[in-house]
Amino acid sequence: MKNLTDYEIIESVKKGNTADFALLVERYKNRAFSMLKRMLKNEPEAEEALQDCFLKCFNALSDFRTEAKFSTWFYKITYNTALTRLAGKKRKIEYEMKSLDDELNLTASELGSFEQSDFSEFVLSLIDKLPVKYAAVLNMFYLNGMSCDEIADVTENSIANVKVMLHRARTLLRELIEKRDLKRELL
Amino acid sequence: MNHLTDDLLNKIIDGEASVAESNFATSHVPTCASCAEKLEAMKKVHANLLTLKEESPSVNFTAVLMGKLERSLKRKKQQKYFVSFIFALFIILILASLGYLISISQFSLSFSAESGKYISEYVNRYSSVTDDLRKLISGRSLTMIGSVLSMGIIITAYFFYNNHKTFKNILK
Repeated sequence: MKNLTDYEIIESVKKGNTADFALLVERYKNRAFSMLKRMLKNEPEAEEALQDCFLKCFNALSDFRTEAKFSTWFYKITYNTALTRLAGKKRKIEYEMKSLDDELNLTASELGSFEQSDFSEFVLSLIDKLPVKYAAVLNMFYLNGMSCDEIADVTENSIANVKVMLHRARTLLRELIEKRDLKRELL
Repeated sequence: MNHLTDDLLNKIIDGEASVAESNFATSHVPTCASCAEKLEAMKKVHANLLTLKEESPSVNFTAVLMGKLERSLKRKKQQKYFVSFIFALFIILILASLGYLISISQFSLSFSAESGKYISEYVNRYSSVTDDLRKLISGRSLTMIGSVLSMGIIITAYFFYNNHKTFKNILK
């Protein structure tokens, strides 16, 4: 079966072949779900939000400009949908008010609980504790393979801001890993 | 003594360090255990982040979504037909009213050589038309026409508002 491009699928859907939209869903659902789960910190809610994203995407397909990249446009819808949901539940305010350092100020006992766990699991668990926008940037950069340019477009930030968020998140993860390794050495 | 800053560490990881910065890092790291550890930890973080895996929603997600989509499209089609029906009903009512007005008025005028007679005949016919019009728009006829028009306006306004709300949600 010929591997259709995003634009070919969109053109087909615009002509009335609604069933072809399922191809786009299959192509993007996992990455979008991963991003939503990291931002909303809740699996059932992430799935509901994912449905909303695809429905919004379908309804707005007629407005999609083919010179733009579909993935960037879709992830923008996903990102904004997550923020809207968080704003509705007031959790967004909590997450934005917390500083990056507060959020990851793990106590000695919390660090200790990660001692025995696999290093990768440790890093992943830390990402889940990051504030929403930092988790989203890390997810888009590492999982979706997006450039800082594209991430800036999705998050409506400058490229410099995106880089700062990426660097700060990485630096903090590094500091926590150093703390963990230091604790291990002392014990 | 200068050490590797967090900014430089990130630049090294992203491959964005300048030649001078790279040279500095290369010469400094072997001589400074602390910076060597930091660089190593940063590389570990980066390597692990590269192994981030996708997570999947439920197995029947696509089927459920496509079902919702089909139902939504069907509903929109029905709404569209209903609005068109109401609009067509309006047009028919207006045309029927006009037709009735035209049929009760008599536009054939007999010409008289005397202009005065022509004018008074015209005035008489005009009065009879206005009398008939007054009968049409008084009492029960007026109430009925008003009710039908009001109902049609309310229903059409509801559907336009609904469509506007949906459009606003899309823009969000």
